[in-house]
Amino acid sequence: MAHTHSDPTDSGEPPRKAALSGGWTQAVVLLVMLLIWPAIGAWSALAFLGAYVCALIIVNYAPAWFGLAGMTARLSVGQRCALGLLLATPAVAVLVRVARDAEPMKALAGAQEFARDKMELQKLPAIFPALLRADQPQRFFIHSPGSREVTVRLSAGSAPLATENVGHGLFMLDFDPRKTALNGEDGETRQVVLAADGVAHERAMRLVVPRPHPRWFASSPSAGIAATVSEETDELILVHRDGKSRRVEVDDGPADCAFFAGGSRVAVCHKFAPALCIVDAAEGKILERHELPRFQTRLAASPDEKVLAVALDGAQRGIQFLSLPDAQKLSFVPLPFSPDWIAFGRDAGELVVTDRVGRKVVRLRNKPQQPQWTMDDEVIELARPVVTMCRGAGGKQMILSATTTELDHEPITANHFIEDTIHHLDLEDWEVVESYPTHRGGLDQDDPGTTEHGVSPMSIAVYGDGLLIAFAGTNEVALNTPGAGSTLDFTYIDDEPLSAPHGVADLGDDTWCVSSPVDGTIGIYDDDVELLHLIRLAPDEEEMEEENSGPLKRLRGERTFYEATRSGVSCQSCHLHTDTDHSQHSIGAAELVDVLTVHGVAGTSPYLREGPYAQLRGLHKVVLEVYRDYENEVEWDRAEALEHYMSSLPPRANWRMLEPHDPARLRQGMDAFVKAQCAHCHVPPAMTNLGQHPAKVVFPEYGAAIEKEFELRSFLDVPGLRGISLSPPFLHDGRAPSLESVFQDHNPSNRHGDTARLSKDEFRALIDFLEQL
Amino acid sequence: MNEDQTMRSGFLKSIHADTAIVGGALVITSLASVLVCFSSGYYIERDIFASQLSGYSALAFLAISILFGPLLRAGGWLGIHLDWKVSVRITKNTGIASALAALVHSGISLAVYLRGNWREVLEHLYLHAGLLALATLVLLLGFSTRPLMSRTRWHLWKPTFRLSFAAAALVFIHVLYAPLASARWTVGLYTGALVISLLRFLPSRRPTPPLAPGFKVSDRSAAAGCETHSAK
Repeated sequence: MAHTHSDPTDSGEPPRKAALSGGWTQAVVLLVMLLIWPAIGAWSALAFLGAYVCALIIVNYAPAWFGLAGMTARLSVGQRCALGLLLATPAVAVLVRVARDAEPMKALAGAQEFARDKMELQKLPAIFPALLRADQPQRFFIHSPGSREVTVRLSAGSAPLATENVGHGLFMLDFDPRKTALNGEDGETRQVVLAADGVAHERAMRLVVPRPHPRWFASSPSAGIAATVSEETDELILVHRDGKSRRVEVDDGPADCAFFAGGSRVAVCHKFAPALCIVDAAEGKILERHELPRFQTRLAASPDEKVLAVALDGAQRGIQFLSLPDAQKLSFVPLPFSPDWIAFGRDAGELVVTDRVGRKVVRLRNKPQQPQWTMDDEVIELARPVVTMCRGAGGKQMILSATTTELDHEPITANHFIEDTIHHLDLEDWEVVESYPTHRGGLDQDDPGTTEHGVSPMSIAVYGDGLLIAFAGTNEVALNTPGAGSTLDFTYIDDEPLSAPHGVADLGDDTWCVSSPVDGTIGIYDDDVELLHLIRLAPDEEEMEEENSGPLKRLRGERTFYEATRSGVSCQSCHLHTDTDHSQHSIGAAELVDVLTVHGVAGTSPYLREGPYAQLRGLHKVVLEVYRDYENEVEWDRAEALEHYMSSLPPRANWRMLEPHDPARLRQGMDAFVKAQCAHCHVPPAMTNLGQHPAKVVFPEYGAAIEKEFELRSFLDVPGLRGISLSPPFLHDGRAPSLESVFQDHNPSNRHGDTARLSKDEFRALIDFLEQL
Repeated sequence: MNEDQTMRSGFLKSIHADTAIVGGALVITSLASVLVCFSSGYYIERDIFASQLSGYSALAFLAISILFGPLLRAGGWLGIHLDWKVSVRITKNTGIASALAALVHSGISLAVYLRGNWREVLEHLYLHAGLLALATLVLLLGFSTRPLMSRTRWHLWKPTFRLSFAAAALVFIHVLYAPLASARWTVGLYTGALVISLLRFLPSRRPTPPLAPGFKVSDRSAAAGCETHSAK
């Protein structure tokens, strides 16, 4: 078997010479195979074998059939080389042709990427993610079995950082770039030193230094000023209607801002710093810092500017009310969910809060006769979460956007369904009184049904009596005047470097401003949509092209992420703010699936639930094949740009890494993780082995059910568990609402982890551990 | 000693040490793989170990079968020579062992890991590759039987057995994409195998065998290139 030799005595005849001798025959067979395989054009194992068999027949048997058997034996070495070259030339030519043809090369390059990622994660000690962000705290995991101590030196000359031993060879490093500076060029790959028990190992990590990203505005039209924050560069940016701007350095991870005191003061909340800053808007100086828990996510000032509401995520989720202007703590209202958007309603005693995970809108009230804030029982449920929300003129309505018109909680089963919609929520009646989709066709369409306007409404602001809406998908701003119903007056703003606009605000005196986090710019416009001023916070594309192509590709990738396809869908439509909309979608298959986060996917090839794409750039195929490509042509490679952008996103910052934790409990959780055999598939440090398992093997009941119902036999990609607690619902179709439910309700065969053998305390420790990831 | 005992003794004596070693290794790994399936423990640990044990042994046998020739060629330059009959036997026996171990591996994987869901095999690239590799090896196993060997003759039999290289490539895809296999180990093994394969292009350095009656001197170089030719 598999031998190239035989016992000639078996054949009963003297040995005969082969057409070509020894290894040369094999080389020629391979060359001919290289010629045939690309010609077949199918990059499957079957095509490979077929090509090989054909080559084998041609090289070994054809000469005999055509009476050429002895020909090569008569050739000199030089003639044989010439023959080899002759055979090689067309093979190489075909390969070059294939190289120009994108699809087969992607398949081949994808295998390389998969092998690289898998090998990197198996190269011990291994660190994940292999990505250093200069703008935010990060938690790294290092897998170094058998080691007692691991230190990490992130840059040459810096002190080694100690890690926490979690047990079973897993070490954890909580890194804060504010404490340990990460000097280096954006996009560079650096060698990081992992010292396991004193033995140094170098590992390559990519450094990402983000540009300023101005997003949503707070404004004071009467004062002619607006403000926005850039979480990436820890800045508050103040913009005056006359075009002047000021950048104020604030604390770590500014998340939102709000004006009070007639527009003379700005409150700034932070994700990563336990402080709320009060800034003098005129001077651009921090006047006060007030201690608050970390992960303050949104701010809202009451209409009378006497109360400030701070939305808190993290260990204590809820709303912290502060008095203004002294910012003294009033009451804290705990919430059973992480608050997303908040806005005061008709007065300082009514606060509307959205829940992204639960896809609902709730109302808190503080009636004069009641000492405490209470949450109304009546909840507005939506099929998709609120994308943005603002207080309507006069405070009688809340204006919010979502990706559907549907106002019930049931998942939408329509195939690839996105319908960006503006909802008007009447606060008096507490019901949605008006809804209108924003998607519009246009006069430039070259295909029936092409969407040209109104994709991804990202920000809404009151402008005079009407509304200004910024659309990130179609690079435009629309005006909705009162009484015009669903009529929107669209204006493209993509003549200027203001792509994927996120924020829009009234600056008073018939001027308004718009922000572009992608380009790092703010534009100030007049009532006729004429650009008055353009404020650049970051280098433009031409400058970047001269410096370094990596960050430029990332910028273009971010632009592509928000850009609408012809079908009116963008990546952002489902991957809300590069994360997930926590909803179930029909994406062509019979069953519904939940939306995966884009954060932390780099280095975990293959991608998507069944792992059909070995490269991140391969996901661009979805755009081409399902969403009918983009309307506008560009000179650069969108797929490559998307890959650069997505691979620059680390796992989502988990608030738990900034809170004190019990090391013993963490080790107990890791013990339970190993005891339940989770680590076989969810292998540290990425918590995935990059493999796929048949659904029937891991979830026999579920696998049998989908086979029976949908005639589906699917392989499920092992997901990485980094940041898993932040992206409910769980399992690939979102059927488990909580981590506990994954094991208690959806693991009856005990094959998705041997959790049956865990005690109650061990099970709780396992959940705690998963939450810490 | 009766006639039966004499025959058995003769049969045992006719088994060469190298054949016994290869056969023993095959029996031990196969038995161990099967026994693991009946052991206690969590399914993924037990089933995967059983699959891996049989699968890796099939791969090891295949690697020896393919690389033995080039290694022997290099050995010739280091002064290490092996009787061609022994080398042919080892190559052939490890090839047969590889196919049999692959059959055991497939049976175990289908029975315990895939729980008899044979249709799952058609759903994933790495299982496609594994299935094709198995089919190729089984085909070659058939061609290794004495009746087929004598029918195919040397000049057809040898190129046919080059399909083992295609099988090796398919096994590479299979192991690389297998969820619980080591990519580093696989890539390392195949890189090493590729380097060793290049030794095939070394000129042969083996002791000159006596010429067979009717065998010309000019044929010797070609025979050396094939490594296996010797006068009767």
